[in-house]
Amino acid sequence: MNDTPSTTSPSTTDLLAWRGLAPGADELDRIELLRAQAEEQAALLHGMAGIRYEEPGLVWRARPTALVDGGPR
Amino acid sequence: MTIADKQVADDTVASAAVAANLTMKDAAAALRDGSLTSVALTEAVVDKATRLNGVLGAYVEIMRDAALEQAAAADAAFAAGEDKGPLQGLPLAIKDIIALQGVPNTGNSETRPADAIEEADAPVVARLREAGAVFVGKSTTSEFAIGLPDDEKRFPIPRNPWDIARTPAGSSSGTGVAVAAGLALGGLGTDTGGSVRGPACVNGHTGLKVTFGRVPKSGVLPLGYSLDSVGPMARSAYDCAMLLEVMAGYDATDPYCATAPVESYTAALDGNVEGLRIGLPTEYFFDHEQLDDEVRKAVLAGVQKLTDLGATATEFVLPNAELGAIANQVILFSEAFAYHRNTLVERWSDYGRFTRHQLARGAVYHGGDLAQANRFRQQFAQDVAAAFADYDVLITPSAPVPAQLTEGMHPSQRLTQPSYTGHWNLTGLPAIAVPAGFTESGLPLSLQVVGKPFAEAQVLKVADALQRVTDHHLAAPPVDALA
Repeated sequence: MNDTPSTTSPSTTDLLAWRGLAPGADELDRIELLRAQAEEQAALLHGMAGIRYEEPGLVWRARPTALVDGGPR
Repeated sequence: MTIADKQVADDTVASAAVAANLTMKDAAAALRDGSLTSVALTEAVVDKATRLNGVLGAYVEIMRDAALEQAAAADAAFAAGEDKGPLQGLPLAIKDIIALQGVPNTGNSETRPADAIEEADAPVVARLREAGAVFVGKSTTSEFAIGLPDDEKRFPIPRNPWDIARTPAGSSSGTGVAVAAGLALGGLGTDTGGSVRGPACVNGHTGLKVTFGRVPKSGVLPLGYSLDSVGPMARSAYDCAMLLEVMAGYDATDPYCATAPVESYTAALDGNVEGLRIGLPTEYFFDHEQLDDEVRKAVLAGVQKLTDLGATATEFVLPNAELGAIANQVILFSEAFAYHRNTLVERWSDYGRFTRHQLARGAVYHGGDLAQANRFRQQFAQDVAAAFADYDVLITPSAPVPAQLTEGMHPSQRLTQPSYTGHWNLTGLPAIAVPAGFTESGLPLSLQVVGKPFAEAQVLKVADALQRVTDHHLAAPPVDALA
């Protein structure tokens, strides 16, 4: 018995079932295409080197309610 | 019919066609000098909308009786010397995710009750109503502002009035089609990743995505809570300014609404761009291999017009521009999934095919992906802020290609083409899509002007300056043969 955790990506059916979703079998091809693209996008974001720590108040913030704080006008 | 009778009939048809294609500014002037009544204008617009809606699919519901009542009230007010402002008596379209009192707010979704009448206007609609505007109807939207038209569902399929085989883009498709085809003089759209600017771009008119928080979003079905905005769509930048003056401002019912003061946007439109510093981001935007050559040339020709008027334009590199588009999508789909998750679990098949597939994409991302997208968002905001130290506005293409053929479209296409709009939702900035010409085959082209936070007056001013020396925004698609 191999106790090593599997590194195999879950199937799209299993992944969506984990979220409570049950698409029809005829829909899986299209969703898998979207999934592949989404995972590629996420990988690009995670692969970005050296996201900086910003100083609070230095720029307008992505946080919506503080959008105007310190922003250039 | 005598020749004289035929001439009268032809003149009437011509007048109606002219009235329906007026700018809001010109119509407002005509209502005040007595050469036009709101009832005649509204009748021309509603009749045209009714005649063409079967082909163009701009409206989910046309409210003829209510619109004519509102128009008559506007005319009565004019007659009594009462003027509530420039919107009085002008027929507008309201996207069908924005609450309009007395009719359902369907979101073009079968998951929403078709008979649930809205008891109150969304605050932004209430402001338009208070200003005397006339509501032609609820305009078609991509389902919940995220799907694609789905012929398996009961809602109209919107079509591009310049070529009905091509997409009118989304999600504010109906308002975009209505404005372009003269089925409304202006209207409301919403924009989370480009849904005001996309339809404005491919349908050949002007559309403004406002600064996050500039216009209250309460009463609007959400898509991405940290990205959503309600924006004006109209033929010209001046018309958008007329709308925004009424739409903008704090409302306590929207927790994200900003308290920043509202400027007189129309007063800012003086045509003067002398000394304006324009930044042109090259990497990913102008340098992208998938940017259509006709688009690139038209946008740069527009920039040239502005430099002829005294602006300066400088190329620069905006770091990580591709990731800016990606981060917007990760956040948008994650937030959309958060809103729809429970309904999606219970009513998967009631959503349109494309909608549920897009929403399922939000289920694929994990928490770390969203956290990383938000970390990136803060850094990207810094980089954009740094660019705005050197430039007053940025100009980009609104989209990489002209309107595409509808047949065979799939949501995955959105991920394989560059997108130039989501960056400004990610950073909350104002951005306006402005007509920039036409392809050789007659499809509209568009450029985008991006400004600093709450600098709507600035981007409107640049767009208006361009429209003072061009007439692309006044071109009307040949729709009369479609009915």
